[in-house]
Amino acid sequence: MKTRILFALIFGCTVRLFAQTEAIDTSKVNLDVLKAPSSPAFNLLGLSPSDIDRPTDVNAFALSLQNSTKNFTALPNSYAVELAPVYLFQKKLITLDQFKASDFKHVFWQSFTLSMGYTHMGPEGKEDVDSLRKSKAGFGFKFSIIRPKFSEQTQNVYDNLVIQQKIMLKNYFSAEAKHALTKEVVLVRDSLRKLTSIYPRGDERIVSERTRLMARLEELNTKINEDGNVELEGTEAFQTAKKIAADFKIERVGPFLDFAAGLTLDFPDDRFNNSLVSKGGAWLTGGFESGNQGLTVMGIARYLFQPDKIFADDNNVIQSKDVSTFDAGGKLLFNGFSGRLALSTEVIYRSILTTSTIDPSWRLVFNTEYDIGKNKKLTFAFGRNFDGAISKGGNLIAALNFISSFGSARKISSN
Amino acid sequence: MPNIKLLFKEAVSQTSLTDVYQVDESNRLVKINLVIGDIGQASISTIKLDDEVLLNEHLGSLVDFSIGRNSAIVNRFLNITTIVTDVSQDHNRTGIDFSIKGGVNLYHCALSKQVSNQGDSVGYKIEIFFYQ
Repeated sequence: MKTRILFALIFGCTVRLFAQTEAIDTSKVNLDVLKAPSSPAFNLLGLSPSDIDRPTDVNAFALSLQNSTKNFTALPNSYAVELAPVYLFQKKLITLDQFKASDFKHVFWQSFTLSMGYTHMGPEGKEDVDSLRKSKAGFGFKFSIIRPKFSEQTQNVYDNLVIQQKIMLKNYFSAEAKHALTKEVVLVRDSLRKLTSIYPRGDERIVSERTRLMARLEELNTKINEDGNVELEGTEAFQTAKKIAADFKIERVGPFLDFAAGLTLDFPDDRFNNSLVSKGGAWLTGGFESGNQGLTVMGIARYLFQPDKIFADDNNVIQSKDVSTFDAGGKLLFNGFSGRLALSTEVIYRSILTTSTIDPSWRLVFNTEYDIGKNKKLTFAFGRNFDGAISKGGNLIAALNFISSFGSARKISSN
Repeated sequence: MPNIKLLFKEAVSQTSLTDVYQVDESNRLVKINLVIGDIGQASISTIKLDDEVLLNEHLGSLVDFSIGRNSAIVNRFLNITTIVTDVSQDHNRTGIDFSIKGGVNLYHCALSKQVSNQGDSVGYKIEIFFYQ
């Protein structure tokens, strides 16, 4: 049953991804159609996010593999795993302070994810028919090259959290110092230090006495630590830090650049030494993140190999076999005058690299909106469409609109 | 077979560690790793060798931190106190992956605690006695 559901999801999602431009109304198309998928391999392979294992350490990964391969005795009908190698190899880079860093090493490792998937099923409705089963594998990865820094507000909140942690550390030391058992800890430590001066070197009593004293020291430290944590919970710094941490959200400001890529392989005769690349894709996304206000710039470049639907081919003129496409887009958004003025420009370019049957085309839209208050907005749009059909002279496709509400003026929240 | 011992260990909270570490008579440096977890958590640590403060109010993880030469730290106590705050909205796991190298053997121990509420902090205490 699970296999059938998975099968349906696989092909359903495959169609969704590569047919994302299907039935697109080109007058409404925007930059979102070019966006990089969150997990390139699964999107290319068509696996559902709910079927993906996301182990966070080596043991979990081993367990995931073991379960899916029936204790390493058989290849699974489907298996999908997404790994963040930083969990496995660079655990020292995952604390909050490390997420502040903007150097390539930190940015790369913290954002690098690998996705791998495998399916071995028949076509829709015949998923379990052995003679019709075909193997497919998908591989993908994504990482950031440039990451924006913490915004000033995020940095202030972070600094405040650090202040509270410093106070908590002092509180913990204070609780430890005044604990009734601390005097005994000092005595046990002294006894441990003196062991080698009391007994001659190599004397067996050193080992037995050390073991006894260490066991007592462990008991004392465990109790002191437990009580220290109880006392810590009652401090103002603990509660303040809790509030800060509970509401902590990272907002970043600055330039960013992300890369994602993936491909799927078909194994026509189910032999791993005979494979064909059935689909492939690469996405480069960059821009400038300005937080909640100001200027936001975003650009996307996308390369696809054998997509199910070619973005530049509205009328399905060409077959996608052996076809590569390149699409790109840019967006510029400006919010000013306390959010009353919004200006945006969006441009999308689409082309087919391997054939000249269809010429590259592009679309440009310019939008502006100004809130003049009391429910009234002045809007203006101007642009040129892919086909250029509505372009005339200045390529004007939109008009100046003045929208006024009916009835009495209503307050509109700026949020 | 899954590593039952490890899975069991992960399920049990441990915020305090007291142990010994054997050093030799060499001048080789003894180094520690203090890797804070889990992803996205905030921490602050102070490290002392007896009463000498080696590192005060250090934020985040620490890798290959030298605490002294083998011959110089014998019969001394290393004390590490760390506060880990659960900042991550995705989970409530806190922990420390602690290791020592440079002495007679490698040493490794993982401490962890799953906090009950988002934003809670945990005090971790590590004490190591160096002997020959």
